[in-house]
Amino acid sequence: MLVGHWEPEKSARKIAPPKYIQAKLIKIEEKAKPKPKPKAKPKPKAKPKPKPKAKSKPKPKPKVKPKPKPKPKVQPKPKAKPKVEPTPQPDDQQLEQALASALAEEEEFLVAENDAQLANSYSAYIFDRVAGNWNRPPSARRGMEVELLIQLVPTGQVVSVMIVQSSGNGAFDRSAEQAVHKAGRFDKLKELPPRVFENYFRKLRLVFRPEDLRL
Amino acid sequence: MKTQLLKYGVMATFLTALLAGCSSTDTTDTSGAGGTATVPSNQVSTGTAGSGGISGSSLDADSSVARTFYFEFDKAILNSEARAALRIHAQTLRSTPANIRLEGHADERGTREYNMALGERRGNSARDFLIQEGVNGALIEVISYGEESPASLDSNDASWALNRRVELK
Amino acid sequence: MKKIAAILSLYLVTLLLPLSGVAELTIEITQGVDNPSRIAIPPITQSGLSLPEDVSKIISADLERSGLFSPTPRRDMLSFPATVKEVYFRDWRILGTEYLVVGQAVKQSGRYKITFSLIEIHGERKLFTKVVEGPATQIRDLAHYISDQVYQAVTGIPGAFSTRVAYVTAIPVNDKMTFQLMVADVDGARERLLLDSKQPIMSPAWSPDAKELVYVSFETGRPAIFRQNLATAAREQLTNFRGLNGAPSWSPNGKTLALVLSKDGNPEIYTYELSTRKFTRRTTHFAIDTEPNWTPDGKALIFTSDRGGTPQIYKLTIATGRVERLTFRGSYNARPRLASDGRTLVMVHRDNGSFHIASQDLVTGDLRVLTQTYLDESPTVAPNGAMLLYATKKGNKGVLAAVSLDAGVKFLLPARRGDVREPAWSPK
Repeated sequence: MLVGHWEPEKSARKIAPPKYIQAKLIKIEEKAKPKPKPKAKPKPKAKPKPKPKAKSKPKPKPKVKPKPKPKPKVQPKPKAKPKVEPTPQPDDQQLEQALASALAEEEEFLVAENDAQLANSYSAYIFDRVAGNWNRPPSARRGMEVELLIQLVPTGQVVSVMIVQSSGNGAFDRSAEQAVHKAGRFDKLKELPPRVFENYFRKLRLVFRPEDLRL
Repeated sequence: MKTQLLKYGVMATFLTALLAGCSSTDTTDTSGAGGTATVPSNQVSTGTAGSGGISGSSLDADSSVARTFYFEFDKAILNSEARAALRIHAQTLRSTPANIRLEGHADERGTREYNMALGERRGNSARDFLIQEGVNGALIEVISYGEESPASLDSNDASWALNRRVELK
Repeated sequence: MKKIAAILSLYLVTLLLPLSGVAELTIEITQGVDNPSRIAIPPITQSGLSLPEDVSKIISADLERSGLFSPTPRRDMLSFPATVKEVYFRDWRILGTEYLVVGQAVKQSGRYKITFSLIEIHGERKLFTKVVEGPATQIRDLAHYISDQVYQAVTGIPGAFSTRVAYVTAIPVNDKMTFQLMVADVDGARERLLLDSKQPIMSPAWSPDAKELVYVSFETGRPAIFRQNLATAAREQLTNFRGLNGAPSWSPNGKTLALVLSKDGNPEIYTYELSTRKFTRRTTHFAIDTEPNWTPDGKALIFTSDRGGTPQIYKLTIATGRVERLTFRGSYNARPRLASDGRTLVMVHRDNGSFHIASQDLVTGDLRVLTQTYLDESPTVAPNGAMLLYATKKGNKGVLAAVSLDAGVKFLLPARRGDVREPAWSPK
């Protein structure tokens, strides 16, 4: 009695347009302690996953400060702007040097701050592109998380995608990889100064953690 | 509801017949309560009634007293018309005992098996009343058809009112 | 030397930027889209010769009906690769295809063997290659098998395309109804008549091995429960009690039926051991107790009762006899079915006076109305829990309809004539 093959009379699943992401920088705060990785990822999650931080290079820190004395590490710097440390008995030359280095430091800091803001706004662009291409499988659930490490070249082209931490759900992991592949090329990264690209976007970690699912 | 029911000429005829049998009701009451008028449903198929009514002359003597009793949604309480008609059937059954079937029905709203239970509950109401009126319970079988055997196939209030019923057979 | 953490708040996004050194930039992707996956299934042939059935068309239709796939029309395809080697990824990327299924068949002594692969276009990689084989007469089964494999790989949920559905049709013939118990593939194909009667047929339910059905038939003039083997058509009447004999439900282990009898005065739930033919009364209440359905672990029954004044869903733990009410929202909740997760309850729910199918999460208590059609009833959940079938009315006609459990996909399954009702999705 049924029509041979049940043709869907109508299919109501609507195509969700990728939402526009409004990026807003709310605060930049100085972290005083030069701890290797403060990584204060504000995760409201219970399990403190010991992430294998694949930071390969210990990286000789760029010598920003001559830093005459190795100050006891415990003492945090109280202020946002680095100031000239009052040295006990400064002679003129020392003072001049300190001043110059402080100025350089400050300048560097300003550049760095600028770079960070730039990186932030381009991160929003990447979020936008990836989220818009991230088609989650129906088995995706809130609480699932997959971490990818992607490598880019200055044209914005993705050259490699690697799963660093699997969610345990193959379809979910694949959907994340596919989101990056589908985004394919982040053209706007071409606009970035090479320094910013190198510092922030050569290697990129993407953590896929759906928060807009019902379940 | 009143106008809808009275549209069926046949119903008006039967109501009159019923009223003649029990003196205490009036027309407004019978049709006012959401289609609970007591009419023989086998005469009320939508096809015939819609086309202008059947004349009362098609009735034979046995069906001069209503054999179908109507109910409210999700209810199994006999209305006064049903009780009046059942009293007359009880009288007949006391004097000339015979096996009867009470077939309980529901409208299509709600689930099928729940409606089976509801149809049975309605049939049981009629059975209990007959027993109370002195009929031997062993003669009565209650069968529920739930919503599976509607008297009217339409999906509207008038149709549902006709389907929430017990038929005495 | 400074590490400055810039905490950036995007719309639902937080990220952290160190300011110096090689940045460890992490972007959290907390949003996405839920669109159907674009998939293409070029014709699957036997070295260019067409098969007795268009296998790739069957697969396309299966996947499309799930609502989770959007198949590329064959006319848009630039090539018809049959193996992974023949795939030009660029061609498919241009079409926006995300997944590609290629396959080829060989015929050996009346049997077909289909080798098929699932390819992800953007990642330019093969996800799997598999083989399925069967007799030429069951080529549709081979197609559904392929659909199941593809569906599972992409969605992470087992497919349910190889399942069947039982249902009842009622056809008016000369002012009288004819009732038929039918079984068809879940795509509506290969419909088979199991029973034809002038009297009502109701409440079909599957055995857990999907080889038998139980149902209610009025053929004796009274409702009675029958058991029927699908392959042999052998049937047996199981009950013949005064009053109701209804709502059979097969236990997950296949040994017991739950059913409703009113032989003791009003509708009560019983269990019936198929091997010993022993009935055990499970409820004792003057109200209506009906529509029992087993929990997936077989330890409890959920059922409808109006013991609280209105029909609501209750759960009866068999070992203890303890009864607990599950539904509290609305004045009419009935005919419960549990999805295989044991947690998603679906039922008929009256919402503002009209009857719809609703789901309730038994853990969180969330209730969701899934349908907006008219006089919706008889929900039956696919064994994979992704979709349910139900009966509804269109015009004055009973039709079947489907809705996904997330309510994202909805469609009607129109029938040629008569009423179609009481779908029962096979457990496998």
